[in-house]
Amino acid sequence: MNPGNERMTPFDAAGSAAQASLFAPPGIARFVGRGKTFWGLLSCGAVLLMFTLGIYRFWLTTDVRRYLWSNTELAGESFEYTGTAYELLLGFLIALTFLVPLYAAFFLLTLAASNIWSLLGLLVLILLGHYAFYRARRYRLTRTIYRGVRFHQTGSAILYSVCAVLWWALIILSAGLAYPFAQSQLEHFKMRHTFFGNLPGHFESSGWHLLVRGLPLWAFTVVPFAIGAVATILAIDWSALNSISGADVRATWTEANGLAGIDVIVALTGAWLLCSIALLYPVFHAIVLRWWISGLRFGNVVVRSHLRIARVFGVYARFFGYATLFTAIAGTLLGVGAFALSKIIGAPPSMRDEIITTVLSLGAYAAMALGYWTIYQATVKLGVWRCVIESLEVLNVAALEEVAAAGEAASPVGEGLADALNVGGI
Amino acid sequence: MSAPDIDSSKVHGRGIFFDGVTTARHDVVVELAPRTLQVHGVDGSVLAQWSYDELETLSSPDDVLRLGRAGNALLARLEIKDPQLAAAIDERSLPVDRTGRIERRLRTKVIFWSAAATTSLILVAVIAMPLIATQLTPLIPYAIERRLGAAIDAQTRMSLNEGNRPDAP
Repeated sequence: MNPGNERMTPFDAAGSAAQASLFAPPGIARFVGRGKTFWGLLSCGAVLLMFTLGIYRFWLTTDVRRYLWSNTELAGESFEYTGTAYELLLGFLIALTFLVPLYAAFFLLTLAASNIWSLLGLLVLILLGHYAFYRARRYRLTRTIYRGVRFHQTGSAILYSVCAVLWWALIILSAGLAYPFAQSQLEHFKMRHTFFGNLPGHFESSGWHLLVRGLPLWAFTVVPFAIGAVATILAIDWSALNSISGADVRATWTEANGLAGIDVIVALTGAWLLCSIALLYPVFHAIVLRWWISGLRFGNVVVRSHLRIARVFGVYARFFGYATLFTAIAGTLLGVGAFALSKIIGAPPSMRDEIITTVLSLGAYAAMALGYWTIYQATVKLGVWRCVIESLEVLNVAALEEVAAAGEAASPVGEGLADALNVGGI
Repeated sequence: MSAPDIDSSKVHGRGIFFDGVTTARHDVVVELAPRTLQVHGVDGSVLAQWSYDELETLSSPDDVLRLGRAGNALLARLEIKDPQLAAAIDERSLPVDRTGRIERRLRTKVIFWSAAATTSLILVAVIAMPLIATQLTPLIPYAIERRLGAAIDAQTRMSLNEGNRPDAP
């Protein structure tokens, strides 16, 4: 077999290819994967997740990452994910050896002592969650290879988790206004410690920029909610409420004070909040993504995003469409199944009937949950990934051709912790 | 350009090589010698020589065969887009598994044993646990049972916010 051209030796052809690659348009990023493959991967994975009580997730996560990484191209070269399912399983098992005694200790302390231990336990878990998130990022970066060179991350995960907890406390205290600054500072921290080979990363977007873009959304969502909350508090007759005693506190309080209007205020505020979140979340997601990507830098390589809000909105609309269709089909099947089961099982049901009904109900619940999860992953996760990649503009991409290898593969423990605490990334 | 000394009876084709030291891309000629896969640069120099047994298939887009050397600290990569050359390498190397047969067999084993473990757990939960609980309950000392009950009682009352009631004890 000689696949080379007859009029050209393989070396001549290689030389021509090298010349051609010099003139290839630089900075082009694209996603070459087919959606159908991803749907198949997730659907099979969801079924296996159910029958293996979630153990298959290590393999599914690895498959998903391999698919996403290897189908993402930058300047004609695709990325590579080198992590394995066995590493994820090992990391999870190691994480369990730390977490199980910790959970047991928290349980015993909350039983034996006062309420303060519950709060302390919650704080420790939040700190641990951010710690795990940072270390999981380190694992994923060191398993990401581009052109034969790996990414890596330095920096203290403990320091990151403390900073993250303090910033989140500030976000809550400021009713969300501190969010852009928190994101900016945490991204600065992460990117300052991120490297592609020997090329250091940094972050250039400012919190003020995100605040200006996100302020209308905040005003549309948080301000009416705050007004509704204040109106509710003002409408309550606190002295009358405190004087009430008796078994049915809620009914007595409402009837005695004639404050049925409060229910209307609470319902309206809740409905406004839910509707505004459902409608504006895709807009918020698009704004944050565009801001974040446009701030990424590696050496003098500059990344910019032209992500349009309409595209992200389309991705979420697609999810909504598929989810509605799935709900209709699954609802019909469940209704028919429940009717058939009620005909089969006699009244009163025996112990065996109750066990069968419980197992089938749990199975139906798991199947529904996995169905929505699959639709979300295949529409929103993949859709947003594709939109983000296709919106990229990379300047000074030639600098990526002169990077020297550096960094070592990190331990999978952080990824295991993140998985056990349910704070993992993609 | 002077063509280097290549045995025309051997299989060869084009590929892209990254040496794992830098990100520089090398357009190369891949030669399938009887025992090794040889990677030649444009100038004819041998950039890498990998035994077929040490080859490792790595994740890549559908139309690319990406190879590395198993257990190598350097992340040298060879990418082949020519399907005929990829098939020829697959034929010569046992670890190269483009059909995914080896991986599938391993995965089937994991799925089978996980499903078996799940069945075992469900059976224990449905049949054995009620039996164990019935046998164990009389053996728990009254003092421990009382203490546990008091703690749960306090927590339940707190979660129902009974402590704030004016008539609360």
